[in-house]
Amino acid sequence: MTEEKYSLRQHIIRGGIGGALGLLILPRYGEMLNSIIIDAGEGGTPALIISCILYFVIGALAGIATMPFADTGKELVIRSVIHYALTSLAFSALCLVNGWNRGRWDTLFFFIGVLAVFYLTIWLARWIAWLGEISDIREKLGIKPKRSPLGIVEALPYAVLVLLTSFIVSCAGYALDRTGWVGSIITALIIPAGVFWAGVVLGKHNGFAPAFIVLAELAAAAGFGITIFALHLNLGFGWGAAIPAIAALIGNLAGFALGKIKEKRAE
Amino acid sequence: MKVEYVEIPELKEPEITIRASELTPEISKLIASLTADEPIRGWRGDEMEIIPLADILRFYTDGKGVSLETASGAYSVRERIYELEEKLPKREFVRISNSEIVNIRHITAIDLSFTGTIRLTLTGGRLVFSSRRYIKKLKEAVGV
Repeated sequence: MTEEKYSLRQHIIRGGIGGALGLLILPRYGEMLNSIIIDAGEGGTPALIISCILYFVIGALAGIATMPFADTGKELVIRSVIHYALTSLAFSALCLVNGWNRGRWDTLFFFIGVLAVFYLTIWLARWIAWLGEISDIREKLGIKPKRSPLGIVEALPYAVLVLLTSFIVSCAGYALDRTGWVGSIITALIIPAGVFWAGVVLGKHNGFAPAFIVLAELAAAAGFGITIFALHLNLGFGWGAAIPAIAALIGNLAGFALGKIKEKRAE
Repeated sequence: MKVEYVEIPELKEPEITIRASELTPEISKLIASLTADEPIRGWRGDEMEIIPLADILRFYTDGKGVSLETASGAYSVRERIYELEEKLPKREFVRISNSEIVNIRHITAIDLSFTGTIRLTLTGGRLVFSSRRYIKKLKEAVGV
C-alpha cells in the first residue's frame, strides 16, 4: 500500500468514526435529529442503522475534505466537484431518511445550496491563504503592486469570505437550535471570530485597510440578512449589529502589528 | 559609477564590497555575474556560447531536451533539468515545475488563479506557470 493510499484510508476511518459519534452528540442540541431517536424508540431501528452508516459516510468525506485542495488547476476543480457531489448525495439521503426536509423538495434543495455555499467558503478561505503567500513573495521580490485607496481591492476577497461565513454560520446556528440560546451564541461568537481572523490575515499581508471595517460590517449584515430572508425568520439585528465592524478593526490592527513585528525580526 | 581598488596583502581571498543607495537591476546583474559559480554553456547547432547566469530567464524541457532562454533567444543545454537544479545558485534560480527552472531576478509579476495555479511573468513578458506543489521552493528561494 502506498503512503498516499494509507493516509487516505486513515482519514476515511477517523472521519467516519467522528461522523458516527456525531450522531450520539448532536441530538442533544435540539429537534434537528429527534426524528431518529423517536423512530428508534418506536421500532424504527432501520432508520437508526441507515443514519449511522450515512453519518459515517459524511464523516469519512469530511475526513478527506482537504485532499481536493492538495492539487491545483483542473484537478482541484474536478476533485472538489466530485467531493461535493458525493457529500450532497449522502446528506440528501440523511435528510430523506430522517424527514428533515419535512417532505418538501425545495427545502432539500435549499440544504444542498447551503452545502454548496459551505464548499465555496472553504475554497475561498484556502485561496486567501494562498494569496497571502503570494503577497509575501511579491514583497520579498520588490514587485508588490501599489495598494489601492483605503485597501479596498485588497479587502474585497476577505469581505466576500465574511459574507459567506455569516450566511453559513447563521444557517447552522438556526438548524442546531431554532429557538434557544445555543444558536444565538454560536452566531454571535463564530461570525465575529471569523471577521477577526480575516482582519488579522489582511493586516498581516496588506497592512491597515480602513475599507475592510466597512465592508466586513456590510458583508456580515448581508449574510445574516440573507438567512433571515431565506428562512423567513422573525429576527432583528439588535445591539450586536456593530460587533463585526469592531472585530474587523481589532483584527486588522492586530494583523498590521504582527506584520510589523515580523518585518522587524527579519531585519 | 565610482570604482576603487584597494590592495590589502593580509587578505586571504579577494573581497568585493558594493555601496549604493538601493539595489538596482544593474547592481543585481553585477552581483550575479560576480557570484556565478560555473558558467553555463549554451549551444546553437555546433556553436557553443558561455551564457552569464544573469542573462538567463529560464531553463525548460521540451520534447527535444533541455533549453535555456535569454532575451536574445534560446540555446540548447547538455545538462538535465535536475542536474541544473543542483548546480545553479539556490538564491537565484528556482524550480517551478517538473519541466522548468526560472531566474528569480527576472520575475516581474506573480499572479494567482482561482484554481491555485501561479502565473509568473518574466522580463520581456514571458509567462510561465507553476503549481502549489512548488510554492515551498519559491518561498525558500526568496527567503519568506
